[in-house]
Amino acid sequence: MLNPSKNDIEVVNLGASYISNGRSLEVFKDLQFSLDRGKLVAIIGPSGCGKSTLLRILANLLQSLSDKLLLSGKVERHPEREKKCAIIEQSPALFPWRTAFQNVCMGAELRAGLNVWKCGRIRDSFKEYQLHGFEDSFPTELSGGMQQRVAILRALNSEPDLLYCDEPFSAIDFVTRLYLNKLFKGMCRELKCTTIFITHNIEEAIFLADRIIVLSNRPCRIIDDFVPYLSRHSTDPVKCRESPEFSQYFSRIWRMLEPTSA
Amino acid sequence: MKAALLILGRFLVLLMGLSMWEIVACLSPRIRFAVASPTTIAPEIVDLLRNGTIVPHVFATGGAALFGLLLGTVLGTVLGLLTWFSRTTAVLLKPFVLALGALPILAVAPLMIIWFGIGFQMKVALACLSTIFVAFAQSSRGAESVSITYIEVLRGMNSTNRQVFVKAIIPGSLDWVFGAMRLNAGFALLGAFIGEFIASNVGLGYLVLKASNLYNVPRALAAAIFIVVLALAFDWLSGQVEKHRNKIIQLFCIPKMAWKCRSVN
Repeated sequence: MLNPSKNDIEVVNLGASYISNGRSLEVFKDLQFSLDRGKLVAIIGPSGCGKSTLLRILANLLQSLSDKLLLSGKVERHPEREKKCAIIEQSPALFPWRTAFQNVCMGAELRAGLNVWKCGRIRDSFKEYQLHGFEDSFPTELSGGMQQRVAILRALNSEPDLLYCDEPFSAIDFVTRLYLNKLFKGMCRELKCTTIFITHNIEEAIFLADRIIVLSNRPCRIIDDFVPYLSRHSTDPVKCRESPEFSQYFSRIWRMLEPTSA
Repeated sequence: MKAALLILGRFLVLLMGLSMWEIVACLSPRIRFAVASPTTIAPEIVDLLRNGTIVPHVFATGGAALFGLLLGTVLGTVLGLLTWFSRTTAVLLKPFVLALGALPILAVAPLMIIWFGIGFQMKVALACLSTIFVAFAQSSRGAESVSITYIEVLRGMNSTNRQVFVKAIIPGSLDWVFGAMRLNAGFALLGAFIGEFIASNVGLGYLVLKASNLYNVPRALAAAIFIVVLALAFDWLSGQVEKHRNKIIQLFCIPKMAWKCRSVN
């Protein structure tokens, strides 16, 4: 049962399998975990293990999944907090008919409505993400990294209680990625949103996460679930590597993801 | 420079075509009677223009086509987009829309006379009928083809079906809608023209019909040239609408407060 004072999401015996040509392919089985309020949980696993499917089930976006997915078990969400969600996709998925600023306004439009105060807040966040001067540009006029930053701003400016991220930085170059990691962590702390962060980048997971869940190959199970602790520079994605724990966590996760060990 | 050369080239092609026509027409009076010639059509055009006789005819045809086009586009698009809400309805209606769309407009024209009389409304109804099915089919497909990621982003932010429709489906399918409108501009004109052919006392269709009944080929062709001009004008107009679709989306689909960030200081 979901404990509403502490948890935002409770996953009970969740299983899923794809049905194709009369045969069923098990994606995952008997997943069980609960997510604490305000924490960032990184879910890491080999590619194709069903991470994105899991995210969409958690986010209640079943419409976008294939009809041939058969679910068992259940996902309980906090009834109040699930009313304010946001998702950051792998691709920026910006609305091409809206300027960068208008894209970011979307969350406010859908929820409380746009007002002068909110517009000012959004303008400030553009400065923070070093997008100042590009507010009135259309997505096609922005570089890939900038587009993804706008997409992140769009999600964060909807002030979510639950934030779902599907490898949001995977298409971004390494340097920009480190820079975005830092900004992202800060913003999530500030918003106190519960974040589910799908990734296949081990370093990113160690830096960002309050908790790391490692999934195995298909049929996927949880093979590790731990709370990383970085003793030094936990707000800086480069300097945090100086922490002695960093490399320990790295090899701990790597050992499990290594293709031969499966 | 290149553009000027192109215009010059086209002018030469036109000139060549016209002179060949003229030469062929000079071969024998019988050919001249059947196909007329540029030199006999030109005075007819001047005559139609000079005393303003052409004006009510152009307005009748153009007006009927324009009203029909707008009516057909608006009705067809609204209904087509609404099918997004129910996949079942869309699938259910599809064969009927296709069947009705395949119906030759000439076949229903007599019916339109019974329903709307022989006046202006009948032409508008025919123009509307020639455009509505294309508008419906295209906007329905457009709504369906809006990328799932846009919908997912909105659903991820807890938006209702109605919000998804307003924020993603309508702006996302406008490319299809305006594409259909451009296609329909010609169909609308054809619909109005057919209406005039069947029953009318004014309009370019009437002019062509009357002239050919009197075996006045130059006058019929002169009227036909005005139809070409009208068709080009319609194409240009719908092209302009298509070109400015981003402004249209800004105007209707996005709150005024978000229009320009820089000016809200």
